[in-house]
Amino acid sequence: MSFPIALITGTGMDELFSPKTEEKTGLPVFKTELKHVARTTHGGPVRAQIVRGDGLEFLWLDRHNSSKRYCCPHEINSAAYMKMLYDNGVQFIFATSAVGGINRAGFDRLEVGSLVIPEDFIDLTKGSYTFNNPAHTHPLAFYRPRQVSFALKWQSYFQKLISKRVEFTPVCRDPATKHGRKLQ
Amino acid sequence: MIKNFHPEARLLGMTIPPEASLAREIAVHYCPICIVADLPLEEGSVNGSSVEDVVRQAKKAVLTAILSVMHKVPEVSAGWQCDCGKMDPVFKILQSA
Repeated sequence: MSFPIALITGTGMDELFSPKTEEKTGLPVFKTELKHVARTTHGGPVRAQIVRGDGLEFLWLDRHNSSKRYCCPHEINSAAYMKMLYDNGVQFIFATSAVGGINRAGFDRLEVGSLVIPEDFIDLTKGSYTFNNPAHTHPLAFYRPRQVSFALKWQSYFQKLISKRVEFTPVCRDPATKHGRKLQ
Repeated sequence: MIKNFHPEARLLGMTIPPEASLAREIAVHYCPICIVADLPLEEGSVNGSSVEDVVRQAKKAVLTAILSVMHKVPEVSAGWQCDCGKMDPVFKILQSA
């Protein structure tokens, strides 16, 4: 069975789609079913939930595995669960992440609790996040031009939905001038 | 320190880069939404124990936004050319090689 949509949640989003949460939030009622994958080609185990309800069916994954043993960010095996999502036919991933706000520039209002849609990232860990390994060596398969990191059109939908909560002007780096420009 | 080296950086997080990089390799459209849990450069803002509380308070708004966008997936994805610049998934290329 294939699931085109997946939701990956982070810190503080562990108790979702439970009757307790639905009572508090007033969200639609969902049914969940455990999907446990003992091992993928890139590690495991991976513990996910199949969520059904409100006309939706998707995979939900708590990246910190909070209900069992909490995985710190450096312990998370992203390749294992991303491979599991790929194996299950996922095409769209929506993800939540708790972050720190370090720069108010570009925001009309940035405060604790604001929702922000990022448009790009800088990785300072020098981590090599790839499925490439000696068994998968190929001259071209792993080449990916890094023009846009995220699905910006979907991001713009998010932006419209949350714009009442925080006014955020997404900025894209202009390759010609290397300065930011507003996205239309 | 980060602000000095990357004055345009606005958020600080730990979990998005691995997923975004791997999502590109498997040609998946990856859409993160961030909840500002603290303002670590501003004195008095940082309190680790309150991070989960902040996220829990934002839970309804986040989930409502995500579920609304999920409902649009079948409608919008049909015949729609994404601007992600995605190539074929690496595993598909490896299989055909």
